[in-house]
Amino acid sequence: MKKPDTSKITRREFLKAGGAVAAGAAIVGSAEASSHAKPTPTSKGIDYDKMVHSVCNYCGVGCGLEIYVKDGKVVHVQGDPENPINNGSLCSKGSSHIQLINNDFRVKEPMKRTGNGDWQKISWKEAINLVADKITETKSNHGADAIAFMGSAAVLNEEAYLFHKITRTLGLKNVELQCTECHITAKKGMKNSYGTGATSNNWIDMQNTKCALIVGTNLVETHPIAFQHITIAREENGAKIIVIDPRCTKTAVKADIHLQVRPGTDIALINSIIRYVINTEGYDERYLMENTVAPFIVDRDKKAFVLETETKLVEKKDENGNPILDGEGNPVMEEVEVEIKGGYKKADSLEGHPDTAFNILKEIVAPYTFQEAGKITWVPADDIKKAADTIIECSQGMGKKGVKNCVAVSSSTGLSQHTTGLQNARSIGILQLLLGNMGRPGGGHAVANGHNPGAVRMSATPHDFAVKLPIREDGESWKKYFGRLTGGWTAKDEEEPTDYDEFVKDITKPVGKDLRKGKWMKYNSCCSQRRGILAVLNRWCIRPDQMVTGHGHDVVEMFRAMKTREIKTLWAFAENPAVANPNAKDTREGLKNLDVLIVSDIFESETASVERKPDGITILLPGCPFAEKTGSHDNTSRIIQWCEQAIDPQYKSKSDLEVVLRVAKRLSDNGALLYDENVANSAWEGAWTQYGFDPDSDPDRDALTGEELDKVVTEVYKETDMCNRMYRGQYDWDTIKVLAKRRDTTPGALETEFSEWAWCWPMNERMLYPDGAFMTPEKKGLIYAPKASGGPLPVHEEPVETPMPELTEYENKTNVIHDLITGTKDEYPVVLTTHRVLEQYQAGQKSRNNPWLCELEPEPHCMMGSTLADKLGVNDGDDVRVSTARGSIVVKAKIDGRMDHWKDDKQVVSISWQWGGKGLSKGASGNLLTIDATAPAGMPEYKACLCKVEKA
Amino acid sequence: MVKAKLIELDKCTECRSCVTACQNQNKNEPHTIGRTKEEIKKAYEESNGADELSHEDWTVISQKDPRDPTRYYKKQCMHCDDPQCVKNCPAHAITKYDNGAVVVDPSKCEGVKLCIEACPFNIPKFDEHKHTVVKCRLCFERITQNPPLDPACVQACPSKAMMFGERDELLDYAKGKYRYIYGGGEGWNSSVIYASNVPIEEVGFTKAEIHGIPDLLRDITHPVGIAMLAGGAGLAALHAMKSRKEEVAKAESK
Repeated sequence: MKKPDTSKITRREFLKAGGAVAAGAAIVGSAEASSHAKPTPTSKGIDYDKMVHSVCNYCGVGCGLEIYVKDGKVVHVQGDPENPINNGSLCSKGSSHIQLINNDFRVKEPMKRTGNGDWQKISWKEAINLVADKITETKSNHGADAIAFMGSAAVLNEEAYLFHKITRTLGLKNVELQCTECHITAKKGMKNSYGTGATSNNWIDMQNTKCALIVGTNLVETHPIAFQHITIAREENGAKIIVIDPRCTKTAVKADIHLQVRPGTDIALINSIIRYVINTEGYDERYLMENTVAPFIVDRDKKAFVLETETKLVEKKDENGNPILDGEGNPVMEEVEVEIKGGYKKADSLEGHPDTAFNILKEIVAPYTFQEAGKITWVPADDIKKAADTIIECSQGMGKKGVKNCVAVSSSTGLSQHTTGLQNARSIGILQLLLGNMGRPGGGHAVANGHNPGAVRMSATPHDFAVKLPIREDGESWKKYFGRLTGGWTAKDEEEPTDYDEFVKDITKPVGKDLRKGKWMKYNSCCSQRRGILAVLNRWCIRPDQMVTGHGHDVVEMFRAMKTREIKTLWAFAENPAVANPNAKDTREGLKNLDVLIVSDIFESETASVERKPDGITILLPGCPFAEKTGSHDNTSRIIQWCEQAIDPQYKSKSDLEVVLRVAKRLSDNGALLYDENVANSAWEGAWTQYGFDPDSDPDRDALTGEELDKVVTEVYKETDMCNRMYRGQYDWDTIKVLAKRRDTTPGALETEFSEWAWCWPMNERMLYPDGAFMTPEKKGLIYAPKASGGPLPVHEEPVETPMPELTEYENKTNVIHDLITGTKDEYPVVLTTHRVLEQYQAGQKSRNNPWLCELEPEPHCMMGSTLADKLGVNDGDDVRVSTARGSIVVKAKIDGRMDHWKDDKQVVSISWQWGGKGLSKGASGNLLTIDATAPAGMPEYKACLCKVEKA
Repeated sequence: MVKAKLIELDKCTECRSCVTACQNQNKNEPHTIGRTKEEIKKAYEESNGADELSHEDWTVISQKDPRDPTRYYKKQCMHCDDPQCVKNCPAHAITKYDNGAVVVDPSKCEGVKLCIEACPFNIPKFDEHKHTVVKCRLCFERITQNPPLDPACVQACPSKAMMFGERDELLDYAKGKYRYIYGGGEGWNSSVIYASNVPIEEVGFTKAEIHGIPDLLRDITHPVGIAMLAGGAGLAALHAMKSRKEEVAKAESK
């Protein structure tokens, strides 16, 4: 075997040279070893009769699993070494799957209870009927607005799709899910910078970066496998790591530069870096001129881009809009200046006109010197400068693979969970555009989602009708709505029809199994919203006049509406709001007041067992892990992979897909679902045939599993190929292949693309915005964003509860929630933020029943610095009481050096929020303390408020 | 050829996924398989956390100083070339294989626990339930498959901070990148090798200290070769003493 040249080689090179291949079992070794050494026998592997590939049940990395089955039981789960995303790696959550699957604590059968009475086991038939009948009853007596559905990003794509199909065919407006509490602000900020809120590159591509800029996320603990790719970048490109985080996290420990920032001050920090980039001309001028709106001229009053105009001869009209005629009865013509749509007025250079977007940006960031930023963020000015220099340096020049050096940004809830979350993401967007880091390998902006973002993309939200189609406004005509949807004709030369109504007549007429025969195929361009809505209305068998219009409540308002009994019935679908919502006491009071609470989950969560009013009914439906069902899963990097079913649902649990289908049937029988009576005899009638599922079968005798489940799920997958504008192309109609199932590991020219592994939306593009192909209306990167909520350019605003109330010029103006319970710095002198730990997953109902995980992280804690601890007389492990204006909890103090940066009266503490009163590992819920101030997009300000800490 | 597990300490992020990967591979306590709720709860409550090596945790991430988040290392059996545990086991329950792995056979272990005292790194632990000494097995069943698999922790590590393969080649690789290597011949030979650009003691690792054996035995047992005969006699005597001690202890505790 050739010996590899080992002078400073990388791990990748070493493995390629065969450095880690085991040879045969020869007896060789040191003299000392030989007298002990025995010949090594060959072993057999584990005993199994089937192995399937699936995807991890937890975060948004989407690690591949190998699940080993023997005699119908899962006997081992490990990482899939062939999957290029994780290469066999799994974090503790992934490695402990067997304890998620084989766990007697699981909910085994449907149960119900009244008030706070004991759980009664019920049959599936009773459960399905009860759920549907109660929803029907609420709708009949109080209207659809008295019902709310919440969830879920923890289920597979097809399940989420069908759950939300019910919401809109029921006529519900109040539909929420995790994304409002997770990333929605960042996504809107990104949309207003690049055109979409999607992660632009992917985890594997991070291997190409010159600098990983990790903002408001702790990748080592939240997306551990992402770190594998950053480690390669470090080794092969000499990549730097910069972390912006209030805690010295495990990620920060690996960083070259850690900016330990006060929670809620990211804009001040990033704006100071933007200012420096501009002043030192560290920006990519050509990129800005060609690919962004930097040279566009702005109308400062209208806050809009100025359009070129042309002179047109038009009919002169009177005040009633009638043409004015001359003496001979001919219309009088006049010359007017008409704006050319898409004809943006530009300067010849970035500063060639006083009102260029670039110049306005320069003005806005001018006050953010490093000193000013240092004052606001509590980060030393020199450290910020050092980071700025590194970021600029790592965005210059060419790398080894012949691609430009880029900074790759990852961000998560530390950036998004603020009232100013949208503008936080905007500041990052502007920085990346200035440096030319978008649309290039090793660059981009990744949103580190904590779950299956695919489920979110299928969903209805307060502002999306479903599958990423906008909600239709109250009173908006069908013509206007359809007119504002994007997505043109397939044939470029054809003109659009002027009569939409004529074209979309017979919208719900059955099309048969080949969905390519539908009218929507006329709009079959990439990501066409028009194709989506036509397909949706057809598949859901509802007419335009039956579409739900208007926006529902965002999450905070939604649970307040439960408190006031405006909302009487809730289905929490793989959701645990009792732990996950901010100001959780409010949420728990809302849950208490409900007439009907339906919970779908794998373990009994805090939401399922929440205190209830005496006549309130709670129904708990057992779900099952991915190993016991099948379907597609989308990850942060837009890669859609398939989960093969390993075993049947255990105990009496069912896939959420089957539950949703059966509830839909009962709702339909009850007459509660909308449908086009001209075309069908009942709602979802076509669906049963299309999917091949008999919804009238006995749910207690028949489980939808195995081949039958696979067929149904595949039909739904095909349907979403048509209906979900982003997933078009995920199914190959010609070869009838589910492209998410592909396992081709061809790496590609840069050895990171893997374009034939599974499928990636949109249209299998692994990297977005190549060559400046931004998807904004202007088709350019938005240095200046005319439509961004909160303003076209980011300015710092203090969190609602601020430790620096003297900064009146930065007072928060973005929060939209009234009647907040707030405190001031006098009573609550310490800044409070929250965090997750690797071993616990979101609101914890899965991971806190898992012994291996609980052993590593058995209880919640409050991380604090040594100086604060000494002042309070507290040692590591002592009980401390942490209180805000909203609540007070006792948790263990964690004094491990990670918060020692905070000194004197600049104190920040952090609570691990993932606990509640159920599970093997119990503890106080951190969200009893957090504030429910909310961004316009609905996102609560979890990450920054004020507290006091005392020895308990 | 002797194999080795190379641990590139600078790449380790302290994520502790190796701890769970090892528990999963060996289905260690506290586990859930085939258990009722009550049994799971009991096993969990009896478990002792994952900060120290134990009968359940055959690897842990050990911090040098609980107040310093930057200094830590993956603690586990070194699979020494000259294993003190092997030569101090009167029951010959531990075998050094020629691929480097040092493996305890639970069916042969008699609970003498001299290996625990002898280990220069304080690694082996005693499992009261199974009545055997336990420690890292270098995933013997995985590495000896055909084709071989990596040890579970090596495969699972999210940062790919570890590699398994031919020791000589791994050492060459490590020496090309790292200043400090332990287990690769300078001071110690083992099939687990640590590599770092920070001196190994700074992350909390303690180099080998031969300890726990009376001076008499130490002289007899080192160097290995011829000493085995004399050592065997001495060991047998010690074994007899220990067994008697345990019998007495058992009787007295009744």
